[in-house]
Amino acid sequence: MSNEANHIHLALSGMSCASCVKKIETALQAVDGVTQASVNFADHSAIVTGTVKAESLIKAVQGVGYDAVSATADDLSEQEALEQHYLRTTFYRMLVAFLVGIPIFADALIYSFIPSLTDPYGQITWFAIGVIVLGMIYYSAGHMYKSAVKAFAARSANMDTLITIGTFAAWLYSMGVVIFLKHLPHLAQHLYFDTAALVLAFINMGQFLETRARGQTSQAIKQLIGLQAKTARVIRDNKEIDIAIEHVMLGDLIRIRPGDKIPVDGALTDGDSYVDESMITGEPSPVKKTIDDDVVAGTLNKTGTFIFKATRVGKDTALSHIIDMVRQAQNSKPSIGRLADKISSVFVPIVLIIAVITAMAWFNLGPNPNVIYTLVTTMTVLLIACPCALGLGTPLAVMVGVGKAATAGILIRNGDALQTAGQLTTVVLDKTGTITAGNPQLMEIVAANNHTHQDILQLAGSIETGSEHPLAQAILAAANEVQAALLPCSDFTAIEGHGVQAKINNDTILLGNQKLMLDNNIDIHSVAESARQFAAQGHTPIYLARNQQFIALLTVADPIKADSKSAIAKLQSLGIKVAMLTGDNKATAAAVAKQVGVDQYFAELLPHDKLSQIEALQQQGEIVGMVGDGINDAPALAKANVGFAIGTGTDVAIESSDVTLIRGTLHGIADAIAVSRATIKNIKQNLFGAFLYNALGIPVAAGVLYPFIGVLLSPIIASAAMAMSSVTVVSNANRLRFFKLGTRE
Amino acid sequence: MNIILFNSIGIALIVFFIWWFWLSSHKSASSVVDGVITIKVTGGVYLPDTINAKVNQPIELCFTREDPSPCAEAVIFDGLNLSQSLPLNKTQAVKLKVDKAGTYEFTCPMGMYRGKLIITD
Repeated sequence: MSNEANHIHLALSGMSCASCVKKIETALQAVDGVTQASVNFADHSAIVTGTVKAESLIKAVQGVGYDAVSATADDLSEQEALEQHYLRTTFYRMLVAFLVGIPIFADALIYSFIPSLTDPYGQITWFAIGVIVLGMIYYSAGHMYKSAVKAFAARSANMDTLITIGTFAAWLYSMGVVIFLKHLPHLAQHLYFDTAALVLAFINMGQFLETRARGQTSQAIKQLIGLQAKTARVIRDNKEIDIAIEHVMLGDLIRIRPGDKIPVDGALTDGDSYVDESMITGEPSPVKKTIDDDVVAGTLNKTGTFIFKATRVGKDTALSHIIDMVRQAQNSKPSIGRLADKISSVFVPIVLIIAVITAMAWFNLGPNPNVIYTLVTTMTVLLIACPCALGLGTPLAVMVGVGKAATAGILIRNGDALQTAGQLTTVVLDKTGTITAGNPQLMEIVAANNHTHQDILQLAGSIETGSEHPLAQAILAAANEVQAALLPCSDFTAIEGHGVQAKINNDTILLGNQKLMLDNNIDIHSVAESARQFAAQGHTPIYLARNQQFIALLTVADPIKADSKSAIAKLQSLGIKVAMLTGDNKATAAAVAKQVGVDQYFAELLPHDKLSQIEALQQQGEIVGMVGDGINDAPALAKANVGFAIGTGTDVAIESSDVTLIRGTLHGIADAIAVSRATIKNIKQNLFGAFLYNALGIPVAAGVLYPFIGVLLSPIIASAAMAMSSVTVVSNANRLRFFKLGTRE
Repeated sequence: MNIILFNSIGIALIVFFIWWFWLSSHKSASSVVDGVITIKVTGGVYLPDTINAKVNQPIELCFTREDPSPCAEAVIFDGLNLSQSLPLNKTQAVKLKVDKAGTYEFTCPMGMYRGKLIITD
């Protein structure tokens, strides 16, 4: 590996102008073994090729006055190794603290084997023990002491401040007792070396458990990052070479063999296969891919082999966007968490003040030896207070909740979307493409006189050639299916909202709705009854006429998605009203509404009507979720309290919505709402628990119960309680991982 | 004598804490001159923790996280609806342009690390 030319990515800092680029490039190229170095000013990065170590490159950069760190985007293994290292270190810190603390504790409580202070050599023995404890503090808590000092200098205080003062006070007092033994009253001759050690042992244990549990909260994002392939087999100069994924360029042709991961986004140019997209879309069955079909990075090729052309690489792939969005969302906070934030920002200074007040109260009013009572209660107050539990409750639950949703193809934009989604009272669904599949099909043909279906489709297909209208597409598809020979047409005019008119073989052909026929005085009463019946089934009637003569009634319908009805029922079972919006005619809308069981529907709406309909619902006090395709419904989605964009595949516009459902099924909405509710409930539990813990714990530690029932807490118990309180919060947030999503019944 | 001394120290400490944490002015401030600021994430604090910049000025905050504890693993700009994970021992840039004057806090997910972005006209 080391003798092979490879690429090293550096993240640069300190660059201020484009002239720095040259300087750094020159410095990098001067390093032995570098064959090429290029610096990107825009993202402050450098790519260096050659047989060289990152460290020597960093040194070269530092040599010209800048700084650099080795950077490989989303290198999971490296971050994971660091995490493991941190865990191991924390474990050893705990172990050392226990090894020092337990013997001293056992000596005092169980079996005395160390000479007591007043024995000959007692003082010197305990002095030595004090030094050992100090060494233990340096090893097990040095980082906390350092952090406390730094934070203090920056006018802030944190968890480490409390631990530092609490444990250092214990050590300092004990050392004072050892040194000035003769000058102290007998009752004040008490040592707290074991307290300092055991407190640090418990705190490190808490951090160890907490970190381990926290690793699990980010499992979902790790899973997504893990989908990225590391290499791609690129065809360059007619040769297939395996290269690192970072070096795949736009337009590269990439070979995919059975079982390969798709490395970047692209479109097939050769071959065909089935691709498993479930990891991105939640769609369980593999999708057929042939030439021109899109493939998405992170999905898995099944059996075939094919070549595709890269259309999006690096940070532009759909998977990268999804990862970015989930990360963003996981780090955002719903408004419910803001109060806790405010409290935790002033929490530690307030605890410090409470500790001073506690000390004064016990010193002035406490029983003898008041010095001991003062010391113990003050330490206990400092050690029981837990800002962590308060601060952890919200972010961890959001992390797990958003991650859980992402693994089911539900992307929640941020904490506020998460919170509001759980509070929705009405969900408004767009009909076309949301409840229905969005690709209308020709359903029925009712011919007048003796016209054959072939003739009718030939005429209708010819006039619709080139039209983009979805209904036209349905008719064209049907004409193609019966292999009708399409005829050339002239004088084509589209009559907005009515239909089309054109000349074929000198005949005037009209194709459109009832209004078009009536406007042209064409008699259609022979099919009036059939048209009504079909409309009642949700079909849209279209009439065909030649030279003022009615020829046929064609009906087109957009099939309802197989699981729309059950998804709507599920929403209703969550206590949510479901409404449908459509630009379609009333009869068709009514029919679809009845079939899927929505509570109410609004038909014949123009795009801006959808917006005002949402506003009207909001004025009635409803909290409205709007579900649409994210492109045509953008204003309505933005107006709604929560906008859901629903798509099939990754083309769905992630940017335009609060919640994005990558898979086309409406079940995602109920799932998103259920996850949101569960997450917010979890946050409430965490915050309530943490508030209660501190609100009860601190006064008890300060000794308010002592005058009544003589109860005082030991600092060791307090630190164990503190460690456990944050572990409890983390574990509770982790419970969300096991939340069941109902997407796949 | 002891009691008077002890109480005086106690009261002085309380006054000191209030002054130190809430009233005293801050030193660790940094102004964005060329648009790029490097912020160290270490030992419970952002260094520097107060960033001054102008409205609509493109700012790039390069965070270098040196604290391995998971508390420091992300930075959140709550008022700007922005967040960024911070890999350990690496520089991670956050690019910003704020179009409204005001003070925007940035914190770790738990709110123990705290910094301020002061945007002026």
